[in-house]
Amino acid sequence: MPEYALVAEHFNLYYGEFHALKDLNLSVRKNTVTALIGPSGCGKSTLLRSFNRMNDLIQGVRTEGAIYFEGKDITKDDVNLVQLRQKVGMVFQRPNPFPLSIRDNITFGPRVMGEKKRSVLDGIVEDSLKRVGLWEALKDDLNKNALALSDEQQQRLCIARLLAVKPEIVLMDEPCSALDPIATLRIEELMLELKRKFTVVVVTHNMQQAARVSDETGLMYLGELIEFDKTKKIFTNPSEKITEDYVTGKFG
Amino acid sequence: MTPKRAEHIALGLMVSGAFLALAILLFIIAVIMIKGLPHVTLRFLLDNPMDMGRAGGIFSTIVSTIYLLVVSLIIAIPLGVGTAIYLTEYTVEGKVTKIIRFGTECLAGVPSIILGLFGFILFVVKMGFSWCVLSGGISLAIMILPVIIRTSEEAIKAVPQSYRDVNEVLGGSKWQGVIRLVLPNAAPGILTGIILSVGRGIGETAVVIFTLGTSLRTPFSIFDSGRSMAVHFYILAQEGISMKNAYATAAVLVFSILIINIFSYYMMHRFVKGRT
Repeated sequence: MPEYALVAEHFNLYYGEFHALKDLNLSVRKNTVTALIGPSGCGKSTLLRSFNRMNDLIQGVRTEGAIYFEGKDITKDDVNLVQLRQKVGMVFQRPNPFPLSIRDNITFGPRVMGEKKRSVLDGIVEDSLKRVGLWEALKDDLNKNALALSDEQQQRLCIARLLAVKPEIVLMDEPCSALDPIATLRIEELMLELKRKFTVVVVTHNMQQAARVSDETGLMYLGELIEFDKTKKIFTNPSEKITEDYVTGKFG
Repeated sequence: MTPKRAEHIALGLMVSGAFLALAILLFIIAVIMIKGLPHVTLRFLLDNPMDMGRAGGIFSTIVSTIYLLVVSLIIAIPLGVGTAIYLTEYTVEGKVTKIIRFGTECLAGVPSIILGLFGFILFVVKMGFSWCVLSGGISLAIMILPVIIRTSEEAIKAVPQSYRDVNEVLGGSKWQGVIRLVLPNAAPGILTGIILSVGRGIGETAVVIFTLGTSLRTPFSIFDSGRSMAVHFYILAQEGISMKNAYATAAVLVFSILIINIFSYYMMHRFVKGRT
């Protein structure tokens, strides 16, 4: 199945006794933006964090079923987590640059992977900043502290920092929730830009955002994937009553 | 009595209590400075004690004090910071961390005279180091270890979790995260703890007198004995050798501790400000 970047099959996740994700089946197409929507606590972030095993950091998490990435079940114990996370990267809710220079933020990933050559690192810095549309604005300020940037620029920088380790998939956990509406629109444009080279999965509270950026949308409710389909269908002609109620704002 | 009146009386008592505490501190400092400072001259600082401290200065005791502190820090910092990293980064809260934490709390509660005796029996007698900078340094390190562990732990916990998450996402190992992100960001807090422990160690007598000894010669090797400023003061006063020199030594000691505390307070302030 080369056209799929991620495939979940009968995937279940438990936090101790709590059954947080219930028998999920979905396939994320390559080079698309897939949105996961649903009310708070429905499990959409948990699912996102399952794609690169970030839930491992939480105690008492247990999974059943499988998630396939590049033909391998990544829920297995023998998975190389460093490699997995390098290929399936994640951008967080709040912009969280390190309190380092812009350059050092971007070269952090390549450097922990052992890249030392200045010329290679400089190339990565330029390439990554170009991809997120920051190069022109920042190319003369690469030694400036990243915390001095605006929120939007910080979030772009965090995306650039991730692209520097050359991921295949970019997971975004409500990447715009800390940004103003204009910055949000610009980050959304960036997502559309990114899907040409990467696969993007975005968790969002903002239904309009899902409608604007995504090709396919999954609606989650109480740990279940209620419906997963083309975004257009979800928002105009959903098959499930819950989906219709949610996208029309009857609950959530 | 009306509630309002009770309020006034309670407030009055609390305010006078607070001012009394401050007044006691100022009184102690004033007495020591008035009695000691007139005798503190450059020669007093740079001359070695003569005639058991009746005459001369305190140079060798200053050297002994600094030497002792440096050795104890060299031992206590790696142990303390290492323990703190282990407790915060490499373990999940559970029985093991609780036992270790309880152990360090208990260590903090051991009276210093007991630590001194322990150091005397183990390092001075059993291991045959005799009274020396090494015996004193290890014993003092044991005393300041809990302070360093606790302050380092707090500083490390204050480093935002997101740094660790991003480090994982970017393929960094835990140790790389510790070295590149956690420690640099916790450094001001850890440093504050180290300075605090220096402030505590510099005035310590009970541990030091049993392990470093009381020799007035300037120590060179770590196997030489010496006499710290605090011990020097204690002996001068206790044996009535020279109250004048005792007060002068005390003035130097109190002055150093004040400087150290002010500096650590300043560092802590900067650290807290940098966090918000």
